[in-house]
Amino acid sequence: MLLVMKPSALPSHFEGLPLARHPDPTQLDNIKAQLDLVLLALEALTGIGSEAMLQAAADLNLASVIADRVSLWRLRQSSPLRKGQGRKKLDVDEARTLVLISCHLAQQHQELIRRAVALLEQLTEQNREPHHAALLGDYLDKFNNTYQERMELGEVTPPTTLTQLALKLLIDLLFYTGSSGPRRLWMALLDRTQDQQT
Amino acid sequence: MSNSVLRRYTPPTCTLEISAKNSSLSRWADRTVLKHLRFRLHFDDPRLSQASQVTIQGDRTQLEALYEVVATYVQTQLGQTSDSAANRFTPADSAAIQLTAPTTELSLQPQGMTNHQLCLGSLATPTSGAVVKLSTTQLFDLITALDDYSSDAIALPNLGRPRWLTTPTSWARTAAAALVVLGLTTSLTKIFDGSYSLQSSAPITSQEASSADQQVATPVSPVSPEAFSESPAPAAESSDLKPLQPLPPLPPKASGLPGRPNLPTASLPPFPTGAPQISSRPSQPTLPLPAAEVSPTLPDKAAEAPPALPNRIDTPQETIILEAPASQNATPSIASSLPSFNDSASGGSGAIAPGASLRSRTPATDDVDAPRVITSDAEASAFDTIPQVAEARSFFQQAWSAPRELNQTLEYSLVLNPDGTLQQIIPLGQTASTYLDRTGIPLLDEPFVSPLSSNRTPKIRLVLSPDGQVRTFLESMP
Repeated sequence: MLLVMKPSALPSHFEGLPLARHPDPTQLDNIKAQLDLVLLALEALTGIGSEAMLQAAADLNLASVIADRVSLWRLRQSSPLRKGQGRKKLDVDEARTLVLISCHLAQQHQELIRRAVALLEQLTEQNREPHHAALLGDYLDKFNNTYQERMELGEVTPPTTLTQLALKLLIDLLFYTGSSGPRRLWMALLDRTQDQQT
Repeated sequence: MSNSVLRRYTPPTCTLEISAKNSSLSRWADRTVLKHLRFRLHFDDPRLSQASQVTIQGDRTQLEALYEVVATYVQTQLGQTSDSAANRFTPADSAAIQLTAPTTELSLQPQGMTNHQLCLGSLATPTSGAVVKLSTTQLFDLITALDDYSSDAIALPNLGRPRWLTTPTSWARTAAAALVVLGLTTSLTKIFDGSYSLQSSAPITSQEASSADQQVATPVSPVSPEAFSESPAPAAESSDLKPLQPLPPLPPKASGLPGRPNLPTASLPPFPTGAPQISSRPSQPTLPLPAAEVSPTLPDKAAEAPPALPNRIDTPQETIILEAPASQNATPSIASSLPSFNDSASGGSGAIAPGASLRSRTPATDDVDAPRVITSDAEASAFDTIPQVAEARSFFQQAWSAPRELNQTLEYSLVLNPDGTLQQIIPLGQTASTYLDRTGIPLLDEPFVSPLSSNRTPKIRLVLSPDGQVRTFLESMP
């Protein structure tokens, strides 16, 4: 059941992340999955972990939403792709918080992300596979391994699919490093839910 | 005073140069307001040979079109899932995909996983060729430069000499009509001064004008009441306004216009902010345009109109419009005074309800003897031609609370179903789209306003200001 959205007093950091109508459970599942994957890509490329994410939350004055490792874990665990039972809820403000954290971290590692994308461009021009560059090879390995560990269907997902996913996420990350990053990520999450694709 | 502005945005692989004049309106915007804007975009990735480095240039419209194309493309790419993008991921295909034929319009297409083809459309030159190939990092740099420019400045449309000065058009007739209205208003105001309480009839200088409103008048010739009392005569002669009856006195609009209480009634807005709306959204002419264009002293200042401040259009128009006395129903219509001009000028698409039946009403009724002070709390305006317009305004006055970081006015066209629910919501402009959910606009087919008395689907314009003001008026009634 769709709700009529009345403007509420959102914290100022959320105000650039509008929502026309509340996502239904399927759409919210997609958002959760996508956000978890964006963070996974960041982890795989930069080696950051939950410490950095919590620090980002604190830097952004969002510690009230994500105060500690447990809350962070819970939010990421809410992705429907993840193994395990447990609380699978993520509300809209938590999603917004993860958007802001992701983009904040992406911005912090902008140079690395850009270098990785530039390498990918070069190798593509040369018709060579991405793992020929160490940075990309390591990224893809780490992404694949972590995905397989964490995700319910990780073991059965073909590596080529994971590689495609990892590379797309890498390219997307570049666009999230800009000042309009959070808005673009948010819109992309909402766009994708409209397509109802996973 | 020359205020040339030169801005350069220099991400690693392109350079965006902006050349413009600083509009004096910048002082009231949180961004620089630019006019006469020209841009040059150099695709100057140092890794490219000199020969491959392409430069394009154009005006404000072209720059905005470019931004729109690039931003939409980027957003579309981001919104794709990896499997739908998967067919671009095999490196070996990149050569094959390069055979995509360029279109003639400004557009972007993907080429393989990491390349994009920018078709330049009207921006193409013999040197640049029709197409520029961009890598993903180059595309990112391009959108970054455009984003940075967009957050830095508001560019005004270039307006030449207003056409009404040279070619009599239907707008000019409406403009002339509005001018006469003003003139007669001023005359009547002077005649009946003191016989009723009109806050707005007090001399401008004695009121505490908000600094913005007064300063707005400063850079362009402030139009004084005296100027208007002289001009109506010649204007009247040149137009077919003779049948127009002397109009009822102005109500005190001051109370009805929070935030703009002190615009002098007989003074026009110093900039024809209606004009840019016309040029950029020709399908939505708004009534305020004619009045705004009327001032004969401001042809050069037309370019000063900031599209980001459309609410200023409405305000002065509301002060000019004469309220029907309260003996009418609660929704007086300015159309009662200017029906002929509307029929011809706006073709029924203006904010005036067609078919107003009040044109033959004479002022000799109680209008003059018992002038009404319009103090309805809903800022009754002459645009409340159907009750739903006022209802919509009340609705949003409750619902709308401007986000702190919002500094632009949001405008939406709301199409109503005959049962009063929303049939369509059309955000006008990028910011309006972005902030759509913050506006409190109900979902389609949800209860909104009362059902219409006729089986029609009116289009109401909703204008939400960053300072919390809400305006609505009827755009059209098909």
